[in-house]
Amino acid sequence: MTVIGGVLCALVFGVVGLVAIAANGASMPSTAAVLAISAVPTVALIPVLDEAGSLCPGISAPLLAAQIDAESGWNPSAVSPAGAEGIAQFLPATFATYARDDDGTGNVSPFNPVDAVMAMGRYDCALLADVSGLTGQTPVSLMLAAYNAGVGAVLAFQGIPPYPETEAYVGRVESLVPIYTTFLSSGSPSSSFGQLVVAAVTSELGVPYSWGGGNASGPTVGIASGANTIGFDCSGLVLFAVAQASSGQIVLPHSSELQATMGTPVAPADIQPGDAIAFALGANQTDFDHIGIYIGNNEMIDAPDTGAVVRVDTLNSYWQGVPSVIRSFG
Amino acid sequence: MKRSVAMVLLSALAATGTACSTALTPLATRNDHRTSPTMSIGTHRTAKAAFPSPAPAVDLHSATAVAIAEVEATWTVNTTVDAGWYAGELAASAYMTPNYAASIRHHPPTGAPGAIWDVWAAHHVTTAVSARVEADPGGPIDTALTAYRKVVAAVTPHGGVPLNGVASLNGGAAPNDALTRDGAAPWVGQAEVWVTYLVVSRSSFATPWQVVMTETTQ
Repeated sequence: MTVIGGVLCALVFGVVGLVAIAANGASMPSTAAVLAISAVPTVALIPVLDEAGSLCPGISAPLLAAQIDAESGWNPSAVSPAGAEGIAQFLPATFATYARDDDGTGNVSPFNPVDAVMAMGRYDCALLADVSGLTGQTPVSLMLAAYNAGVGAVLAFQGIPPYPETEAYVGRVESLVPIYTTFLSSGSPSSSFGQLVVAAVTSELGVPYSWGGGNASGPTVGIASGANTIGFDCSGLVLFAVAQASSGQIVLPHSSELQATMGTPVAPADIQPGDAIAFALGANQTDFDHIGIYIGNNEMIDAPDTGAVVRVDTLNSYWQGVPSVIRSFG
Repeated sequence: MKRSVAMVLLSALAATGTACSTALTPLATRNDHRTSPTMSIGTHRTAKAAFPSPAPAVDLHSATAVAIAEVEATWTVNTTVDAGWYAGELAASAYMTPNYAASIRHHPPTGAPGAIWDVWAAHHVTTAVSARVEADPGGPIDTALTAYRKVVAAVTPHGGVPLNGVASLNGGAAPNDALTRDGAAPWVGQAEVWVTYLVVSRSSFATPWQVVMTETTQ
């Protein structure tokens, strides 16, 4: 199957099926997201992750792997200062609720990785059910927030609570999921990194601007003017596109100023589709406070400001008069 | 790859002339956040630590200063005495509205602090936080009584001990969070960069700014 500019698109956590888009009108081979076994440091846990990740709709083996990474760094003996135990960092009471003798040893323990991973799957499923009535954020994001902050806090805020630890946990796990995900494809797309970036950002055209919105997996609810909007701000859109193109290997900070300093600098004459182009719109010509993705033909896709949507902007004389830098992350 | 990115970040933050950079004295808070919302008090704190006060040096009539102070307090931790990130959140509540602070106090995390914390705790890490406001012309516009700030913070771990035989480095992303040193130099790790969007308000021109809400992203 011929693919021009086709690309794997945003991972939708818990969706194990096809996640593919066609950029520039191209067709895509059918693909399925599965556990990237090469990323799992404990090979014996691969079938356990697959089994636990299929316990209910909404969770997946890559999601569980990302949680384990964030929770314990795959250390089956981990004990937190507060008494969380094992590879899944269960409190004893929580583990007792969800654990079974899954490996048939007769010894149910949070330090037994098989028991712990299966219990994590059951716990995730229970939390998903607990937050199923909430809207506005993805069920997996809400579930992860409940895993960290407790269901009570999530229900009290009708969403991810505004607690830095919880928000950081959700963001970290979601940024790790692509690392543990690979795609089985019936075709052989051979897009360049730049094409992948362009395809990812193209897939979000029309998504609303949301201040603080966007992460490695897609649009998210922002804050203040973006509090009720699932979308992207400018740097959120760029970090999403680069994360998608790199299968989660490159997760940029949610900061246009920092993004403008990262990757490889590109001269204006050498700009290629997929490069990020950052602008200094304010008085300080070194504060790059806006950023978008160059898509060719003297155009970029960006998330401009509150009230707007992700759109194509022509790099006209206005933009050409603004101090800018170009960066490549491929 | 993550390590190289982080090193670039460190350089970028260090080179930013507009940064408001501080390394706060680690706050000696202790709280088993997974079992009780009530702070247990450490050697450097009194019972008032559960209701912390703003640092005297912070200009509470500057929305920017309050936003930066809140973020710095959030990420300034001492893993030898703190049980998790929640200790920083409690310290940061000094800059919050009463409602937001109460919410923080009444909803301690039910999850573990995680792999990064565990690695840092094994190193006896204290953090140094470098935070600055980033302009964001696409965001909401300030009013007289409400301000919006985006703060970028680099949280650098400084360790007190080597990582001898810490079993948590089994794989995944955690190894990137281990600390290194050059010869006899102090142990130091790559910075974790956090971006926080804050809504800050005041009830009148005469009253201090307080943080109403935050959203933290990587």
